[in-house]
Amino acid sequence: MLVATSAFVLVHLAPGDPFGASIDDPSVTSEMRAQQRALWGYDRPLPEQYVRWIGNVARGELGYSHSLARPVGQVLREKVPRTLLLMGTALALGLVAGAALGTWQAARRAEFVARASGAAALVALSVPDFVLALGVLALFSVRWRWFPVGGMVDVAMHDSYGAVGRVLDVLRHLVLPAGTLALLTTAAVSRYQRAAMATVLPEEFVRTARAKGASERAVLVRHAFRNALGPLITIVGLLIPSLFGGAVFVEKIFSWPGMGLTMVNAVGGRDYPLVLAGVLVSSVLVAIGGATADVLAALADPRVGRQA
Amino acid sequence: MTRAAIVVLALFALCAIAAPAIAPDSPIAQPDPVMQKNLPPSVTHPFGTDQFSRDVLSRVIYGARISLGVATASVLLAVTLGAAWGAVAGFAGGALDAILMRVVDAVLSVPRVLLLIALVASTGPLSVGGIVLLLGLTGWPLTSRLVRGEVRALREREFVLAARATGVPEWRILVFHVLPGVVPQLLVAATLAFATVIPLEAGLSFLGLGVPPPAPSWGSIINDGAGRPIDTWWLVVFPGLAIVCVVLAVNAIGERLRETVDPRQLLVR
Repeated sequence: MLVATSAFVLVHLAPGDPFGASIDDPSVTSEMRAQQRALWGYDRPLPEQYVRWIGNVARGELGYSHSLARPVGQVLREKVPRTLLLMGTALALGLVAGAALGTWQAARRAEFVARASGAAALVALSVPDFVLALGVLALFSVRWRWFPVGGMVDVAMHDSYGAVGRVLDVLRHLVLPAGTLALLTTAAVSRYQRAAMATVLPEEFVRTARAKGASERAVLVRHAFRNALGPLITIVGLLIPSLFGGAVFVEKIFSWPGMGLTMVNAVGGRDYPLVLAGVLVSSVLVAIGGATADVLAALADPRVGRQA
Repeated sequence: MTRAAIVVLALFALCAIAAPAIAPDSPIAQPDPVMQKNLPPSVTHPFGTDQFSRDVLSRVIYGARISLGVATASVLLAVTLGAAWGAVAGFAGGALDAILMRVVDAVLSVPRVLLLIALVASTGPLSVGGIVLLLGLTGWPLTSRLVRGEVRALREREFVLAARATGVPEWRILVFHVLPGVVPQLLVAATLAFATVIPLEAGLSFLGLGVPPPAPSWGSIINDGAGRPIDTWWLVVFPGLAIVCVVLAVNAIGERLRETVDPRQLLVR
């Protein structure tokens, strides 16, 4: 609610409205613009616009996208799952790879390779998402042509594929954008995981496990990792907002037709309803992600729930 | 490591300050847009030229001015706001604390990139000052959380109770007794904010939503080369390297500061 209100106020602070852009078109007279403004209520005072908008949002009515000439809800229903597919794949890959990498680094902390990979993670974290995405695009699809340069499906061929072919087509297009995001996630997760493992490994119970003759592998996976799982899940919840940000750049560079690309494109047209709804939906998704992470963290580590 | 990082940052700062003296060319001059456009790196143009025949080395050097300048100014704004917000919340406690921190939660739940995109959508093309304002106004919540936690801890310490017992007014206790103790945390918060805001500004400029052309920002130079990242690789690689160097240096310094200030603290970003 608070988010919705502040988003509305901020977006409407500035002069201009969705119909200002047509000012370059001589065939659109100022009467026509005024008529359109009146039709969509942009001539009303802001408080009235706000009350109408918030009332509509509460009923799940997100408004009408002027630049796409479709209801916002319909647009988002189409775009948001694509962004979630991209982010979900990246998160899953990055989580597994990052957890494994971080655990390995913590276990072999004295060895050069492990320390070097830790430094590499710091370097990877210092590369902005859009620079990494551009590099990946340049090498893997422009230079070596291993993967398509963008989009979600092969526009010319997709409809002629069978069901399996269509899934494979989407997967082929998913590899690079999701891989880019996953790489950044891996770097972030591995650093947290290494830190979490470093706090767990010196504990008594780890020594006990070693003393009773458990193999090093069992000590790491069953005893230490299990205890580092709670912090790891919490971190994932905190990573979700930045993952949304990364998705914007990745979608833009790989022309992945998701919510981020749609929002960037909506900026030029001053398509308030669409931009506002995008911010709103992503905040709600972040909140859901955070809440899920809290619940999972409590499940993974019973101590979390008891402390609270 | 830390020393190398400081040297790197100092070099970039020097580039930013003394750009007119160091840069071989003007960053916006277009000597010959027909014959000298998109030249690969050579002796006359070590970083090549862009599609308007502008010298990329000069643009990257002047870009340090914009990118580092915007980052520094917006971090100062964000950290000041965050410190004030967090200090008031932590020191007051109770209902005011709850309300102020709710606001922080709300702002933090909006992905910052999307929030900035929405803001730019509403304001239209921005001046450099406008960008600083937007980045500063969206960057304070994390700082305020750090500061609030520290202030709450300091509030209960004996020297604060002693000051109160001797009749020092509350605002003086906050400003002269509690806030100085927060400075180390503030430094950590500032490095974190700096390392986030550099890629963020570059990203906005990359999307064409940041610093308006023809002024060079590292992000907008990359955008100039983004259409053909293999053919005009020098437009992506050199400003990209500049960003990575600065962010890496700031991260390394921040890491070191964090270890010194609070060794227990997990690497929460």
